[in-house]
Amino acid sequence: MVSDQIKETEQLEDIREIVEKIGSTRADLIPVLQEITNKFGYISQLAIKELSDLMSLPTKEILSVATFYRMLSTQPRGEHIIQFCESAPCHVVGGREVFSALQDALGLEPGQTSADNKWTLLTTSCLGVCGIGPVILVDTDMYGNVTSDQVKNILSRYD
Amino acid sequence: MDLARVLINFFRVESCGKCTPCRIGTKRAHDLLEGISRGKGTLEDLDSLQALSQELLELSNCGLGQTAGTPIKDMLAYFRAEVEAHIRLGICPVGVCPMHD
Amino acid sequence: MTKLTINGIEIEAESNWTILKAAEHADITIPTLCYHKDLSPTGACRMCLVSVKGAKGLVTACTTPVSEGMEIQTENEALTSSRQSVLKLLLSVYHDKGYKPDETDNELFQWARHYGLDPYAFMSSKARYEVDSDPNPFIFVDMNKCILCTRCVRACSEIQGRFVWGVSERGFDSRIVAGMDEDMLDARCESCGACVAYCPTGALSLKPTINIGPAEKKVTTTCNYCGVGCQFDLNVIDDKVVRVTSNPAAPANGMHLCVKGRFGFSFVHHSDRLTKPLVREYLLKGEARPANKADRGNWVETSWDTALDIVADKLVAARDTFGPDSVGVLSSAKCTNEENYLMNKFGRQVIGTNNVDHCARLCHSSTVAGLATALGSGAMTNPMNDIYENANSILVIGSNTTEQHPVFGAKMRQAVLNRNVQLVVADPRRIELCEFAVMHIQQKPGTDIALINGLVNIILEKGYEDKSFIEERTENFDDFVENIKKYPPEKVSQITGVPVSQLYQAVEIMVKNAPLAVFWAMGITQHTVGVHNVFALADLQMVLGNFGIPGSGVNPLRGQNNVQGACDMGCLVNVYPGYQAVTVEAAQQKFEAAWGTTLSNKVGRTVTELIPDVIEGKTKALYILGENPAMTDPDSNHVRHCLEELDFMVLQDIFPTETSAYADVLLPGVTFAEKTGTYTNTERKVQMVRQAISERGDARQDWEITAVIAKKVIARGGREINEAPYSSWDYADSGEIMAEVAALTPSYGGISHQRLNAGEVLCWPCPDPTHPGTPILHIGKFTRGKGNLIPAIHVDPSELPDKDYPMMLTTGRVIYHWHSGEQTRRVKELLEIYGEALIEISPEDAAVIGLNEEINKVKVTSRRGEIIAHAWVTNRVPEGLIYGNFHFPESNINYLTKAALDPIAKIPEYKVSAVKIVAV
Ligand code: SF4
Ligand code: SF4
Ligand code: SF4
Ligand code: FES
Ligand code: FES
Repeated sequence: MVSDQIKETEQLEDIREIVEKIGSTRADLIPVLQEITNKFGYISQLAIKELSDLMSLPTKEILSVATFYRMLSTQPRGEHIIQFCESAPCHVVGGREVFSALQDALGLEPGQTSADNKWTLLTTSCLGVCGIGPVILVDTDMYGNVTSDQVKNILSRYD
Repeated sequence: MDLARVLINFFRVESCGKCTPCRIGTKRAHDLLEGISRGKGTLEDLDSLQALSQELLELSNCGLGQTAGTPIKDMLAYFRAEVEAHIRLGICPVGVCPMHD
Repeated sequence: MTKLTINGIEIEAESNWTILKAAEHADITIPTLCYHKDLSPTGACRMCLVSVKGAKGLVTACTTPVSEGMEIQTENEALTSSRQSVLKLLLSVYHDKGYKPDETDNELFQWARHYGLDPYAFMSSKARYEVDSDPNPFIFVDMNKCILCTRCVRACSEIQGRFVWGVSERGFDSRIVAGMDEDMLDARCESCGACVAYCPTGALSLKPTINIGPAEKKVTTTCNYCGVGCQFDLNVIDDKVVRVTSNPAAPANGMHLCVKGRFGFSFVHHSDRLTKPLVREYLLKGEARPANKADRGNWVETSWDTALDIVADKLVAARDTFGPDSVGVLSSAKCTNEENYLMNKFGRQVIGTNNVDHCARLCHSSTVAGLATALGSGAMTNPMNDIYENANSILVIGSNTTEQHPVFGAKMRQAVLNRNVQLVVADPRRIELCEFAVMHIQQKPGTDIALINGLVNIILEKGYEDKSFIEERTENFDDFVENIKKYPPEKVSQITGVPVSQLYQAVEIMVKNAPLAVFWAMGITQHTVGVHNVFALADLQMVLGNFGIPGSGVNPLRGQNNVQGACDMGCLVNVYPGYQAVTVEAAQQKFEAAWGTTLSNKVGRTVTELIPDVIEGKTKALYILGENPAMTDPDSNHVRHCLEELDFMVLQDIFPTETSAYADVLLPGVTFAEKTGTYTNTERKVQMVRQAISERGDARQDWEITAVIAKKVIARGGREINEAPYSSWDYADSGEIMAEVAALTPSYGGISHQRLNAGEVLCWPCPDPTHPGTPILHIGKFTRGKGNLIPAIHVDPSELPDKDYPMMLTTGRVIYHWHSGEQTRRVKELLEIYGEALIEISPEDAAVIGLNEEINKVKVTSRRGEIIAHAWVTNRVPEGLIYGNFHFPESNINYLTKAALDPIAKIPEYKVSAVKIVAV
């Protein structure tokens, strides 16, 4: 309880800093939310409430933006976020098999987070590097021309 | 057929959700294609898909929804036999669709 | 002008119109779902697609502007099929759990049927969401019926200014959520129900009467809570009011209502309703009153005749033994004009006294007196819609508008959001409206005159005054300036606690954004300097020339639904109907001739005098209609003591109230849903109240009760009343009473039920049957001729904090309740939201007295009494000030308030008392 409160206070301080750094106009909302996602992994209700005060925006508007963009999240996510490209160019060069392998290795459906909080599996639309599909993005590391047997190896780099 | 499904999925996922045809139409089309790929399609589904592709084009608000029908239309124009095989024969001629749940 | 054709018909349109607007203009209907004329267009649902010659594809009529030479088709086979497609898609995600709908067909169903589709055939069988997913007691949320038209989102943001609803996620997953996906009330919902009113599918509906089914009949009537005067439709099933629905034609409010208007009607059917006349046992037995004054004995049900005979006997006895002025007649601002007129006639004609008063004494008597002296007419000068459309700045001083006049409060928010009107709030509390204000002036309670004079001082210093207006339309400028000189900014800052720089900024805002409209309410009037407060505000607007033009004026927001009307009808001690003074011989003669009797020319005693005067034996009997002085008058302990001593009280009301403990006869009247008549709203609009259901039990029309008592008193003799044009008490209906009002009241001369029922919107003055009414007062000339610039003089409140009572107390209401709470405390859902009186206290003071999670009650004591209540720790109040309300008998703040009166208006100083406070 006490430690929760301390965490909350710290989180609020960080949020204030972020807004101070980036700005508090409507146009700053997306960068601010991005920064909060980066920092805390997700945008909590506490964060939305605080931003609503700091930026004089209704909470519903912040929630709309926070849930609209895939790069933002209002749900806690795992330590590592795996994004798998499900668009056609990647799909036709073997994406389907790679994705099955990925799902088997993790035991996760798209959108789920592993019980140990290590992984979150997401699907995404084209990442803009179709030339090297199938493509997996783990956090900020991009893997191209992935085959099914490489999947385990890629994951093991994050142990 | 599989490709059309994947393409439609793209539009479904990227639809902003504002206008009716795009928000619901892409979902409907995807559901139907999903069904066909799992061996559950009917020939009426193809008529529905044809109609949906037209509605998406005519009724959507922006380019995304308007384009979303194109893969279906092309699929039905150029690969109808392949699609019908899923329905009539219960097989996927190119062997990529699961054809079961 | 733009020329175009729709379906071959040539149309001339304004160039900023949309195709839809042009079509409407030509009486061509285009189907719509996401569009609503009150809301910004969005083009989401695609129902309104039309074909335009030469355009690429179809276009949405609701968002596409017209252009020269357009050729538009709104109906053809292809369009029908595209609309069918849209409807089928929408229905494919519509799931109906089977609750009976409020209307037979919602808009979605209507269009589906219009295009030949059976909605039930195309519906989804699967629910995607929980039904009744929000705990708000008023609003039933079933997102399975949502078509994502976003009307609710826009209604909440654009109409109510509350930003509760939003859209979360995207694509097929998009859904409507409150705030950050939380309960509506947590997302700051005020339960106004606008979102429900605009929802075209029933995804949002009215929870208290869910599953009751469509109304058998709808009756358009006027709200019985505040002076905004909203109109709406009472929905009736089986002679019971089951719900309230918006009526788009309502003049003051359109579709909008507040939580009380939309949901606060169930008191009508509460089991506490009085349905039989009650008299005390001692009266029936013909005995003397019980020796114990605190207890008048048992109530016994009796016939109307018996009860009214007793009333007549007692009133006649008091009148004939102690003189007419021993009797007081207290009328009611809750009742209709017709009923109030009769109370005035009863007191003056039948009893022969001017002791006719009502609760306006406690709210705006200082406004009426102040404005009548300064301008000649004591009412709001400009209609709200005019101000919404034309004011460029607004000063709200001493009015918590969003809670007390919620629909006007919402209009103010809209003015700020849509027109960027510069809003200045002057209030000791940080009221909700401050969120929308460019400036919040937080003056100390009781320093308004200093504040306003200080602003005028700066205006004169800067030369911002409207010299030609002052020259042509006002008098007394020199005296006035002498007084203003005594209020230089530094001194004003000292008195008010407002920084000098803020005073200068406020002046800049108001001057640079003319016209300025000024609003006030109880924060100005309920002071011992109430009348001078009003002078100061009238002066400010005269100096700035803000009179007689759109978007300007002085605008006192009248509290009760018909407090304007009750004043207009002469329920004041000094005037006949239409403010014709009892002291003016011509007026006296006019009414003597009309009513066939001799009348008193002596100003009567006010309610704040009549009750205390009981102790001195000057008041013997009271006839009270729908008022609850034991709750609402200041210093309740003393009021109750006086009422105990009173010889005889007849009380006519709908419920037994705190005051009925002191009554000898209790007469069951009827609620607004059971009567026909008129209310006059704060904008001077006279509006119809229409009977929707029959009288409950043996309750009778209030006007009839008064008329029967009058006839019985007259029949007992003792006062000569002759045949005269309006001497009689035989009325067939309330319309005939209005005809009498019109004949005797110049400002109501042209007002009749017929005109109102024909749909006319009439603001008085409306002198004759062809006159269109007068929405804006004082155009070109003040009612009294020249505006009187009266020096307003600051005097400290009668009681200030000292070492024994170190805190200041100010009082008021909250949005969910009405006055003594007789009605709203009998609405279950309102109690669910706000179920007990809370004392607002600042976090600083809370810390000082040691409030925390466990210790959360406070005992508040003044020189006159004490109450205990839960505390609400909030920065709405500054350090040193607490705020309480008078809605709940157990913790009624009026045990603490002081009966210090304004010397002119006799209004009590509710707004400042000294108290001490401890945590308990
Ligand atoms: S009831 Fe009023 S305040 Fe509440 S969500 Fe609906 S529109 Fe907004
Ligand atoms: S709840 Fe009603 S008003 Fe709101 S988006 Fe859904 S259908 Fe439209
Ligand atoms: S604003 Fe006043 S008149 Fe309108 S609904 Fe609310 S209480 Fe009734
Ligand atoms: S399709 Fe996968 S990166 Fe473009
Ligand atoms: S009414 Fe025009 S798009 Fe909905």
